[in-house]
Amino acid sequence: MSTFRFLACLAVAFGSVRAAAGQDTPTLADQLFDNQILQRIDLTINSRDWEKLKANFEENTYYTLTIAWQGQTMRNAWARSRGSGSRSGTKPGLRIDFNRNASGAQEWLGMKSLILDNLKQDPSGMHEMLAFRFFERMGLPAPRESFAQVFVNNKFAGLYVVVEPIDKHYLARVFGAHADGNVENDGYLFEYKWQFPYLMTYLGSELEKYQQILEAKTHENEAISTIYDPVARMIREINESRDDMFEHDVSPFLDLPLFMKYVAIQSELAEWDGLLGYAGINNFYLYRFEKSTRLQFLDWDADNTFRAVDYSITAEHDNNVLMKRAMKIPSLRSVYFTSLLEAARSAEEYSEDEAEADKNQKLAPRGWLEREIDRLYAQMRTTMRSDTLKNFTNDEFEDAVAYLKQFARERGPYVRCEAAKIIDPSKASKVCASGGS
Amino acid sequence: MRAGWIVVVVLAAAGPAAAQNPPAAPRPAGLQWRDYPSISAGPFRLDVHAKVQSDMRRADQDLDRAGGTYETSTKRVGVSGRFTNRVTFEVERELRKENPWRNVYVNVEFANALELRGGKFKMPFSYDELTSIVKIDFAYRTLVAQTIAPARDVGVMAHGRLWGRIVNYQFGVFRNDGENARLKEPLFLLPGEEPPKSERSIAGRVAFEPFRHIAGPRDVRRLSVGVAMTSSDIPEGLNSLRGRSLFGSEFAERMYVSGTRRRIGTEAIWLPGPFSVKWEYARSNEQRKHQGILDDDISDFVSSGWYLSGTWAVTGEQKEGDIEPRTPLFQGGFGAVELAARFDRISFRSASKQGTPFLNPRADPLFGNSESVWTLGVNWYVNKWGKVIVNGMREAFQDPERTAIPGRTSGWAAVLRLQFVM
Repeated sequence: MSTFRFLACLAVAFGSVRAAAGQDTPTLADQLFDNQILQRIDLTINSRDWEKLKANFEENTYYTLTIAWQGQTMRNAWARSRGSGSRSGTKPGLRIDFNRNASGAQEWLGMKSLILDNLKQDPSGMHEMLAFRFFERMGLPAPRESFAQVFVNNKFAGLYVVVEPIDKHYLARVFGAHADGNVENDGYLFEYKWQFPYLMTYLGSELEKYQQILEAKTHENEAISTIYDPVARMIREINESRDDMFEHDVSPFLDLPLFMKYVAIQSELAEWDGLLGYAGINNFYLYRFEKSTRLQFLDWDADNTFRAVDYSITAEHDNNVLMKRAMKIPSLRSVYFTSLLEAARSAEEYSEDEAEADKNQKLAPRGWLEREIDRLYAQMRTTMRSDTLKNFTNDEFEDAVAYLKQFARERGPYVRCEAAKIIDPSKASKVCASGGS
Repeated sequence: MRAGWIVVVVLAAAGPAAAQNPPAAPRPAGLQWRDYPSISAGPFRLDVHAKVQSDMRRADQDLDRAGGTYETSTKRVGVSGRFTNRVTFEVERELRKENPWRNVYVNVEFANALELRGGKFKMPFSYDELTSIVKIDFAYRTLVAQTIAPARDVGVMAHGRLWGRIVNYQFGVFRNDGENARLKEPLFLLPGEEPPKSERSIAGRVAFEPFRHIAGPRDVRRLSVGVAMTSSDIPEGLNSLRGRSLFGSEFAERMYVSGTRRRIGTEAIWLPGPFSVKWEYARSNEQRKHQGILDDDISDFVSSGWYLSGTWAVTGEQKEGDIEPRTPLFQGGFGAVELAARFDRISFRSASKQGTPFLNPRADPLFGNSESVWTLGVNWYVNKWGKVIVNGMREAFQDPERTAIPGRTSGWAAVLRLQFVM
């Protein structure tokens, strides 16, 4: 009996070690999205297809190609031009699908698709990567990204950002497994499609109106009522619940403190085209969890972050119905400001070792955000400057990076000062005078 | 010089045949009823025709995209006629907006052995395609005729009959490569690139009736064998032939092609008494020059198909292309009844089979697909004008992920066709 027990324990222990090792071993996808190194991706495409894709960059026509990275080659991939304002006939942004027109399920590095962002709207090249990294740092899910030199038919085609798509693989990664071992990724995923400045007003009971702005990315073939009814009910509760019942009525659909944290992070990042965007809500996915009415916003397309050092911390609060009503609830209002100040602090955070290292380089201690800017800049500067297809000059690139560093140093004091004016005006002048400390 | 020899041979063979063809007797002037309205005036004759086919259909696959369960598939009016014994003509129009013109041509007969036709008409390829839609043995043409045969185009063609019709030939030059091979993709030119030369095609067909004049049983003499070919230049693009099911669902998508499209076809037709046996094989090779991912030449895209069909007029009428009932309905009889069966198959693949196949249109080898159709039918020839066709069809596909019926590799279909021809 004791021998059996010993062997059983040994087997369990060995299994645990193996499992732990498995968890720690980075997958190929992890390595592709490792932003500690500059990646290289090679695309091979019929030259006429490449010219057609560039000539017809406003269309979503797919072309077949081969993609290779570190010896991992996919011969049967498909690519199309992507983006809205970022579309380019010179340096096209690309969506690459691995499971299109394939016989059976086909994946590459465990993914069904991949995005190559052409950085057209961001001269610094790092807005989105910094924003997503900061979301992760603050404990909210965000897509992974890395810089890549992209070669098309062995010719340098520019510096791109490799973006992890939001799909079932992403959901499984960020939400993990349930107690029964099944991963959480079989809920209802929607991509928001900007159609008009929408401020989360109730659009009525016709589900087609929600279908127009929220494109179903999973369970697409199910009945429209199954897919969209919980969304419509959430919007209705947001608009029509009594003030004293707001939190109670909306909570079954939305984790309100999590929502407040989300918008607080976007506020710290001066995101002007996000959930509280200048033209209504924008740039997000929405996920409804399995067997639940609960929905969660997922950040997407963060090129328009870092709008200005003095970007208002209450921008669009009074226009967006959800935000306006949530800010009337003291506990939620508190979550917002607490999260905002925590975000400001986190962006400036540094360890003693890091401060010492900066001191050795005769630098003032740099916070997390500024160090990330410097790291990414060092990683991709040469490649960015040699990218003659980019949509901006090298001087504009350098200026954009310099501005980001300024933002990293000055946004925190501004946020604290402005927050103090709202939370405790009596102390505001002191906070503002001390540089927000 | 070579062309001159061809003319000499043709005319030499034509001499005796032409001599056997006496001029037709002139018809009385005015409007006459000859199973259709006909107007004659001296050497001029004009016949008025109409064709209507209405289908009631059921199928396992979605018919909404194919016109629904009830469809009038043919609504044609036209005129044909002749001027003297030398010139004949035909103008036929489908009563629809898209591509309405069918046959629009003039034919000049110099001798039995040499006629010239100019205008829009069927390119000489595939017995089934060259048979009028109202005279085929089934409701639908074969997959070979619908897909590989080029169908109509604008061109000029020399044709004739040699040695007492033992040899029938057709050779033509056409503006494009037929309506079944219409180009899908607009031409894309790289900066500084010249547009390619025209898509002009040539086509030829020779049919032999080797036993036509030998002594022996009549049925043996009614055997015809033939060969046909076409060749055309195809501009770069997603312009290959494609596979479509009975009701138009695509099961083999277009591929990138560039270069030459060549078709070859063979046929054997035997019409012994009330029976008929028909067999055809056709194949198209489309070059894919510079169409690989690496701009490399890749192996041809190959479409090939064949069918074998048989009919039996149980009421005993002779099969003469079509059947005319001996005792029409309401004229002392029931009409004529014919049983028919056909197996039909078409496949699409790359010429190369080496390596891992993929579905993308630049892959080599390609992941092919094929379709097979069994058809059983009953044809009721009511009278000269009316015909009822009942067909049951079993359609099967090779690739379960590319079928007309999502999730299924095979399905049933049935059609009841009412046909009126005047």
